[in-house]
Amino acid sequence: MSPEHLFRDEAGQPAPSVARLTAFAALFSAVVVIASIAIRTLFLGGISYSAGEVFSEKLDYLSSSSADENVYFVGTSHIYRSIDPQQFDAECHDSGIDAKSYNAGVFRLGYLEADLLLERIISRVEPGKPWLVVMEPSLRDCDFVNWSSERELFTHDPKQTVRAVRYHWLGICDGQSVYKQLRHAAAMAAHLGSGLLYQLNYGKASRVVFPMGDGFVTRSFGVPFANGFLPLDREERRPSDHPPLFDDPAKFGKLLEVGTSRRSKSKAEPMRSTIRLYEEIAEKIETAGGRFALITTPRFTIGAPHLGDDIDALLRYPPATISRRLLGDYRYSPENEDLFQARYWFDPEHLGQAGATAFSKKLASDIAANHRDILPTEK
Amino acid sequence: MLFNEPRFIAFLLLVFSVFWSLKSNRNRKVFLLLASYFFYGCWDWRFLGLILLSSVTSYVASLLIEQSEDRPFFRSFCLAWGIGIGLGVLFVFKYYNFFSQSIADVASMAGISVAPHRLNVILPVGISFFTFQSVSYVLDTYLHRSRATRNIIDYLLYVAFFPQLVAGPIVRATDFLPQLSACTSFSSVRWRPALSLFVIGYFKKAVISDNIAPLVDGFFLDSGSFGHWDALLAVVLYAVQIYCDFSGYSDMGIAVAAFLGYRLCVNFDHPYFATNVAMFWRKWHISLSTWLRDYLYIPLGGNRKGGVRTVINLMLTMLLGGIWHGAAWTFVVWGLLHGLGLVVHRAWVSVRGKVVGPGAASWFGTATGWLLTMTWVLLTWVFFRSPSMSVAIDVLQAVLFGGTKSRILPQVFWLHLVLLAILHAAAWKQRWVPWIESIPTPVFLMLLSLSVAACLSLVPNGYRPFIYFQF
Repeated sequence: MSPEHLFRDEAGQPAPSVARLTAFAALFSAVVVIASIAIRTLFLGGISYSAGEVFSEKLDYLSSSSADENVYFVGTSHIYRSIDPQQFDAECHDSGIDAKSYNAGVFRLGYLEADLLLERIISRVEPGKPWLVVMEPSLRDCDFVNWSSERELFTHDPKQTVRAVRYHWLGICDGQSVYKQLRHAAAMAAHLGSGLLYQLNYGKASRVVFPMGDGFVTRSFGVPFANGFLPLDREERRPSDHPPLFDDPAKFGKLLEVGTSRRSKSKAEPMRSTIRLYEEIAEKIETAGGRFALITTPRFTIGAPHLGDDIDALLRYPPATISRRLLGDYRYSPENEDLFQARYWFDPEHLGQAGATAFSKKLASDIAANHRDILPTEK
Repeated sequence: MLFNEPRFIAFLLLVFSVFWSLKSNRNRKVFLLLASYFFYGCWDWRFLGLILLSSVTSYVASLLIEQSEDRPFFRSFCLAWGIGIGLGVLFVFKYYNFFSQSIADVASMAGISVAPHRLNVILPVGISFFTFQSVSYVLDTYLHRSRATRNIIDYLLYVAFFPQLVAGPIVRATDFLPQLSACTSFSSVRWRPALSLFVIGYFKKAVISDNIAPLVDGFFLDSGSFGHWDALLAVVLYAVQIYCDFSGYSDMGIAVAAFLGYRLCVNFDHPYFATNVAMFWRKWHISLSTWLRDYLYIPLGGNRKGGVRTVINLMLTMLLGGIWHGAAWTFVVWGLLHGLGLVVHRAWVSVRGKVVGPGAASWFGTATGWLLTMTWVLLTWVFFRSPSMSVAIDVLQAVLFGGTKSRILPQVFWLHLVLLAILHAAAWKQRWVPWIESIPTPVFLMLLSLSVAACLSLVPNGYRPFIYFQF
């Protein structure tokens, strides 16, 4: 079709009215939705979205195996790459605590995804036995980068959409700063857009009509070991252009200098939406008979500046519904300097195996020293 | 922001609504310019400065060239300055590391150890496209082919107009600037073909190209593991992928421009039905091939200076065409192979009458021409796609002799190729625009909606940038 086919020689017909255009767009949208429902009913009934590597394996693990564990770490890659359950358990054991932990961390874990993991954990724990969930308060919102990813579409259901809209609406109404309001508005729009894509079967038929076969996965984040932990330096399929930070002490020194100087000095008040989110999580776990605790993992820059603000604000929350659950804050500070050594760090955001070992031991011994009551004691 | 991202649809709807609700032509252009910069800034706002530098330099240079008719030295200086800034920026970002490495390699072969100096820069999206547009504008003014515009908004919009900004077509100022002088008319747009073209482009890019891409990527990473037929399938699939990727983008760009009332030039015309290499280049990336013809081949003398010069001019033009695509030896070979194809075709045309006699080509001749052309084009795509010469040679070995056969491609893709070929031939031969215009509105609405719903379910999750973004 030539571009000339797209234009009339003369503007012969009158332009359609706004009302007619709107009607056409509405009708078009309605027919697309109806056609999508028909396609789903007729052809795509047995096809579901995949949660993707690591996340789906952890969901499967938590669904299928028996509940040997009594401590679960849930969070983003900071948890996934930083806590070695073997080391944590061994250190606890030395302190007389009978801990058997599982690392349920998943890179870029969202709050709806965390909810799925928690549901699996709650359904597998043995009634009457003590158990603990440790989280980092930095769960991801839906955004316009990932809103159409298969993993994002996997988490969709109407109940979660209502919860997400309520959470972000609270964030918008908080009125703390225009930036935070816009962030919540964008996250809500992304979540609703993602829900629409879900209803439109976005990408669902692709794998059926264009089967890839085995061995054509082009992107991978690594399969975790049995206890859910996989440090980046043991990642077999990590890209070769990603040299570890511990091989470059000079770069590490610079990073330490810059990163620590950016430590958040925020005086921001916590957002009601964020407090509510973690209160709901705590309520869910404690209603099911578990205990809920928070940590912050070692970081230079405390993530993005707003994330640092959020964590700081959350931990300062006066009624202490959240902060009293804090087991430890391991972001850069003079007390935590021992964790900020070049040999421990794989990249500016994540520890390597040696760092994860040191951190897991430190976490266990700190808990044993200061929060012993929260963990199950040795039989 | 990519045309096949859902968020682009939201952006487009917003731009469309605001654009047509503005009554003044000037306001529309200012709005479109801001929208275009926003579109580009979504990729990386830091490179907005490069577009502005390239645009303002060529704008000022053209004005000075026009105002200095009686000062030939100053005119030439302005020409060199206007072109030099754009090409200099292009060189720094795209070619510096390649030439630095190549010089070090040559020195190393001569026994001299030189560490190549490398710049730690990333390639700004679409830099080759907007640089060529700016360069052609300055050259057109210098050669008195067109007058320089005084309206800077018009000129900035010509360079940055978002439907063609990052991957072409390479628009000529003489085609685009006159369209900016008057308000575009909503009723002059044929909406049904325009909407259809957008959906067709989306289908080509998001459904066909993006679904094929992982297979092709996997094959080129490990071609030695595939047998002869699978290797051949993978190379043919790459030909389909790059065509659907680039022509799909062009279709969407042309349709989006039409939604706003602007005409862009045609960029593809069923190139895989070409029966010789010259015809292929009249059908493939037409805006680039005509640019190279008008601003390189003809100024070099074209075919007016004898056989040997014609051969040299053809080879030089295609060599630069290859380098335009990327700073790597594989692109150099790709360009030279196409140049060689054009030279051989030219030689064949001159002796054809003596060999097969005068008259139109028989079906056998046409089929043979098509087969030879496709074989040559596929061979060149191997170099185009390969990240290095050694990979290209591995791939050719796999195609010719087969590899270990430890991996196989899904054989259903042979069936997909046949279906796509039938669909493509039907689109080539059928005059479906009048048909689209003739069907009742509810039927059109139903077909369009069904097509969109089907496309959305077939899109693979996760984006793949357009292949031509990297150029």
